[in-house]
Amino acid sequence: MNEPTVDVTVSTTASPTADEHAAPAPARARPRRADAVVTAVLLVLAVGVGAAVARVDSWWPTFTATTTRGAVGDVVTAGPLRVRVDEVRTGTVLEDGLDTLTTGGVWVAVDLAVSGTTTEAVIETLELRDAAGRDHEVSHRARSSMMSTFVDPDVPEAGTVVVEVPARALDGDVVLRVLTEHQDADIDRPQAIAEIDLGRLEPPADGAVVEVRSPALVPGGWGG
Amino acid sequence: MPAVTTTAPRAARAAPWVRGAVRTWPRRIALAVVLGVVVGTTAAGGFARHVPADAGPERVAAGEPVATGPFDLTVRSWSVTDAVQVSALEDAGADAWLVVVVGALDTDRESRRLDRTAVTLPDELPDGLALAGDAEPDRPDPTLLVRDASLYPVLQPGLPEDVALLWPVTVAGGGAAGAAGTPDVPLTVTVPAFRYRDMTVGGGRRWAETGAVVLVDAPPGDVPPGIVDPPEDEEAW
Repeated sequence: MNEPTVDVTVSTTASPTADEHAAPAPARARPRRADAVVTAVLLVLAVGVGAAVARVDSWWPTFTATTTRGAVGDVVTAGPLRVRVDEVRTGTVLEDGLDTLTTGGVWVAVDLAVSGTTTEAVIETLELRDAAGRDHEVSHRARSSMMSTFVDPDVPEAGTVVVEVPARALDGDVVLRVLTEHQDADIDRPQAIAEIDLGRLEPPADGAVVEVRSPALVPGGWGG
Repeated sequence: MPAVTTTAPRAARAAPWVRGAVRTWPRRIALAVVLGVVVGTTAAGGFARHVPADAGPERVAAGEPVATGPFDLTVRSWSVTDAVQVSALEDAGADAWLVVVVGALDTDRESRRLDRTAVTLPDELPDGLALAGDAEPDRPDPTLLVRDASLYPVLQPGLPEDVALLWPVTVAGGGAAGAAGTPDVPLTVTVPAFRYRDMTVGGGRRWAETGAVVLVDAPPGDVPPGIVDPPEDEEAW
């Protein structure tokens, strides 16, 4: 196969001549000036793009959820709410003050205290996340006393929220998630979430009854 | 010095055509193309058993769970009654409710209401029954938890429950639906399948119908006592 060959002797054997040394100066200066202009433009462009990228977050803010974590007994502040879980009870029968409700799983009653941070606030959504990552929303069948209670800033009220879960949800640690805005609120403003580790819950005895406690002011407030 | 001999691998000796098939590059490329076609056709389901287009949707026996995507749905029975949600029945201008009872297991990772189109009625209802008012065959309304007649129940993941789906119907001859009872024929209902997918319009992800459906012949059955309105207590007034 014939391959193109390069005559390397041309460049290596050619010796500088008088013509090269006599190249006209203006012809060499013009490209150098063009290079400088291009370099300057690229530098300005790079600085401009860098400055714009640095301001992306303020020009087009990305609303992401913020999560604050705590344990039973901690006062956890998440956006407009402060939450403290005081006790967790389980049962197979629920007395919510109006009805007696049975379940094929387990009733989990969480006694908690809630206040606003700076203005009046209310829990928007609440769910229990099991060890497998499945979220169990607060029961719509039962009356959870703290789901519709508006609370004043730093004036905590205590009550109960009720979640119905399958028995397998108690096989591992569960986490209470208190969401302070509607699920789709990240379109408008960031979601603040309080995650409170409830640990592993004891399965209830057969026929164990749990009751929903009415909302009541916490004596002494958060310091009490 | 003793002569050194080389022996071809056993496979090559046993099948000399293998060596022949891969001896030259054109043969290797041709072999790769043939293998690629076979593997590609298999992966695309080309060798799956042929299902004639006129075979219709899959059929599942009542009582067998149907995996719809977010739920495992088991069609249990159907019935006609005017003893459920009596006040709503009058508001709907209907003679009775057509009730389909399904077992629902939320297989998703979050609490969910049963999809609005979870079950669709056939175009023709048996025994002179007809949908009343603006009721639609794929939009049961209301839905009730069989356990305690809770309206529009939210089901928890992994916690199976029976749900009653109600459609307002008129009865041929009018009224007396309770006396007439449920026709003793099966009712063929349609259960659509869903897939969790990105939405082109509006963004986000949600369960969307795939277009695939399963047909189930629901047997006639009793109205679950848990959803029947309790008798009015005259003395309480």
